[in-house]
Amino acid sequence: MVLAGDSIVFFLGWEMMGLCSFFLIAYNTTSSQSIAAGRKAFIMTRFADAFLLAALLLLFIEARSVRLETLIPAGLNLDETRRTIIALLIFGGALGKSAQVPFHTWLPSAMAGPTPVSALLHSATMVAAGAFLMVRFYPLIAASPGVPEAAASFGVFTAIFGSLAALFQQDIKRLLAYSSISQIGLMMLSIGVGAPAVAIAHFVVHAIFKSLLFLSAGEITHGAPQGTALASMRGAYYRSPVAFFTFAAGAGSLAALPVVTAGWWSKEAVLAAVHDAGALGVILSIVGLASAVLTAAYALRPVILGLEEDDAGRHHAHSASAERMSRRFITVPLVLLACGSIVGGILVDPIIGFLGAEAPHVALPGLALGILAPLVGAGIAIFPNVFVSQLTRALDRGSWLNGRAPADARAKRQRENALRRFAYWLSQGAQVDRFYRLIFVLPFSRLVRWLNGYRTGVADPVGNWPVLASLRAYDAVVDSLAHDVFDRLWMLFAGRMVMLWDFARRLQTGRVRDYGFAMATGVAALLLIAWRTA
Amino acid sequence: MILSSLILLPFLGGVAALLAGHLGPNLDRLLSILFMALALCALIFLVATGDDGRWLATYRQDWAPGLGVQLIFAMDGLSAALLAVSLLLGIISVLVSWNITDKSPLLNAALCWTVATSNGVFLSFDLLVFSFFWELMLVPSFLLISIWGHGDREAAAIKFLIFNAVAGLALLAAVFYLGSTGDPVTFDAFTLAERRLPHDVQVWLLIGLSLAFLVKLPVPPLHAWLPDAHTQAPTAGSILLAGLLLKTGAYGLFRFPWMLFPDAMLTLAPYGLTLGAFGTLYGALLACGQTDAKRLVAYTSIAHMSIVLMGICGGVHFALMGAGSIMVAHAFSASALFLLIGAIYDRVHTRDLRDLGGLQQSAPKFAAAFALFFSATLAMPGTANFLGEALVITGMFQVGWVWASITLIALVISVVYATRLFKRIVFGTSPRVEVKQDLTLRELFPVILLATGTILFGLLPQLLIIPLGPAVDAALAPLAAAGRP
Repeated sequence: MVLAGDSIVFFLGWEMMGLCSFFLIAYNTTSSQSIAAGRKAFIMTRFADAFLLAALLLLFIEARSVRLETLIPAGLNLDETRRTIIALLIFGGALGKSAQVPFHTWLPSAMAGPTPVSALLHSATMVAAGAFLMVRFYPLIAASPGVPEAAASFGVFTAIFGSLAALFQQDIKRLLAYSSISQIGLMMLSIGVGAPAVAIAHFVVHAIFKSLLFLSAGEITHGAPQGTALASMRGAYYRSPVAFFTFAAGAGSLAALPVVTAGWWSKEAVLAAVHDAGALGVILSIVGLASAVLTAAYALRPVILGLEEDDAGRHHAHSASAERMSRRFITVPLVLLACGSIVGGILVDPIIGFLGAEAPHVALPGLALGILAPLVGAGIAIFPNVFVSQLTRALDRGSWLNGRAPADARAKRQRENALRRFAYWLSQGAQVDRFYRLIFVLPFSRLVRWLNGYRTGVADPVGNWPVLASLRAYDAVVDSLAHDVFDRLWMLFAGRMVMLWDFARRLQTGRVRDYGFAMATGVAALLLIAWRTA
Repeated sequence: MILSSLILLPFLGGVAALLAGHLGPNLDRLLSILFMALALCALIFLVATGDDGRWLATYRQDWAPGLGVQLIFAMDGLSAALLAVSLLLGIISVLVSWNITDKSPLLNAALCWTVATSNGVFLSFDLLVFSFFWELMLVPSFLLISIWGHGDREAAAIKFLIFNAVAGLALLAAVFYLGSTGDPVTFDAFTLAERRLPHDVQVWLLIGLSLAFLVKLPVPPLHAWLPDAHTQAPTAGSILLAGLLLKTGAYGLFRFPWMLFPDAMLTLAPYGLTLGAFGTLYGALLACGQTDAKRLVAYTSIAHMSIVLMGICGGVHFALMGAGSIMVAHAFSASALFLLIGAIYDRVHTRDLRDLGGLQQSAPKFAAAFALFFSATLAMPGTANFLGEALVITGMFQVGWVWASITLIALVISVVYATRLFKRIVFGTSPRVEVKQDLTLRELFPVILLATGTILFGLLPQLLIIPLGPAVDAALAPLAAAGRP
């Protein structure tokens, strides 16, 4: 897809990623949960792919060519309405593949797949393809009124939503999934404000530190009794220090620790680009900044958890020592990626320059990012009693309020309950899944069940009702003809003949005097006729 | 003359298999394969030496001059592609039913005759001869289902026969009226195409003609025979049903309505589009709910062939091109799925999706083949099916965005039923049955052939688009004359 020079190869790569993601998410084929997650991801992305296919085919009709270099100018030559429709369709395809709101729910579910798959597909390649698509077709996007604005607003909303949802996750992989969603939201934002090169720079840096995070988190939680639950991170520093430090490097990059991490450089570029984009840009950059602060909070949370002592964890480390051999191979990519996510910042400006854009550098957003994100974020993460932990612990057990809240503080409790519900709602991806289930899945399956005759007893009604009706009509006709009209006429005739016979039979009495009388009468009649006619 | 050998050779192969089959082991099978391979060679020779113009080869011979009946055979790219598919699937179906010993000479004869008669349909341009082959085609298929079928095979065979024979009568009536009312009496399609009938007459004749094609296609609500026939037919029968018989319906629709009744077709095309749009959604929805694997594939066939109908009724270049491509692509992918499901049935004697599973662990080659044709069914780019569907959707965008969006929705639903089939057969573990034996060489060879076709045409679409070109242009040529808006 990246190397594609024409729309067919582009779409081939695009769809193949979806297919491979289906196979890989469902890699654990005995678990119905992972198969369901694979199907969900495939169907949801295919839904969005249909938009992209429509856009590519519409462009093909205009350009009569599949080459991208003729396709895009042909799109630009269209009138404004059709150009906008095509751009919106492309944007729809990007939203689906990149798991942006409202398509975001397939990505957290896809975490049922193996961790290396998540590291590859769901951080760097497949989900980021949406951002790549937007950059590839950027001229078209930029020339369509409303579409960049839509991209920016969807992007910034997804960014803040994703980081909020990540804050309340109980599973490290789902946390990282929401983090990917949020970071790609930042890329969309940057594309929306007219800085696709910056988006690509953040794309590269994000790919490095996010696959590092996935891999090291997978390494830390591998074989842990709680699986990939966030609690498995507890005591990671003591169990697997290398993986912990690489994770910390990745998390620092995600949290945008100033100067020393790559994440700060790219995120600063994004925020600066947004800040440059006029009055609205300032507001957007402030929202982006808020999202970055939240990002720092959820990124540092597992790190702090890893520093906590954990006896059970140490005990666990003993039993896992047999796997040390295989772990040696894992540390190599971890360390490489960790170096990348620290010094990768030097790549940001060259990438932007290579793409023919000027790296935006505005002091204020970068400074604010460098100061606020680590400080406030770390504050939220270090003092979890104040912020996250109470909420999440409450989510865990639900007994927190009952146990401690004073009985008279009813209003306070209600407020906290509402907050708790809100946090839970966020952590479940705003319950969009439930909405989709109601709107799409249930009606669909009901329709399918109805068509298969679960209710009516007649499967395939359109095909079978005509058959049944014609069978019934056939029966009716045959029944009515069973008393054949012509047959009845013939039988009536036969009946008359029988009556005639019956009458004639009576003449044959067998008595000589009757016959003699008849003969005499006949002879007399004949003589009478002969006499009269002579 | 070589052209008629494409019909004669498979026919003689059937006769030879029937007469000489008992003389030696496997002789009947080898004879039918030999004759069909000879026909395939003849086809390759014809294509290689063919003219560059409209037709690759033609053949014309008086048959009953007083009645105006001639033998007119003509082959262009579309017919050549379908003939190749037909002969290939004929050979494959003989291979697939290798282990059936019950009345095997008759079985192989029936397979050969199915190929011979459908080849006759693909070649004939004398409408009376066309209808002759059209009706004759039912006989061997009827035998296949009713003798070697599963379960409730008699009922399925009779349903198949009644639906198609009744619809065939409508075709015959239309052909008789068309041929006998003009002067001189002729059934030559090329001559008849130049006669411009009044619009109303055209409409009635078109309805009669296309009824037969729509039943064979089949498009809902005329499809009720197909799921039963597919489910009860033996594997070879399913392969020929999906790969050949359905294609004769599509071929008829592609070739004759635009050629003979362009005015009426312009009037009726929106209804055809509606029917196709309904059919593709309906077939896809029903496929989502099936528990019998073969029935599921049968409903996907209905969905895909309805898209062919949409493509044909679209009446624009891309749509017709796409319809032609889907015909070939679907012949490969659906036949392959029937073959694979049949192979599973041979091993575990069930096709119930609730019982199957775990193919991936016990039979990796099987699972890989399944994965390929699964992606072909959901029109993954890189397969011939995608080429066809993308072209139809392109054409639909030119006709109207409603039709395009319906085909796109069908594309999304195809993921639902395809992943359902795949997960139930390939993933998971089977609670009840396990497929222990992987694909044997005799099963693998056809699978590889079909896979090659699917991928080759998917990656090199020009191989399909260039041969189809003249047929598409010819189908659309009367449109310009009909004063299309």
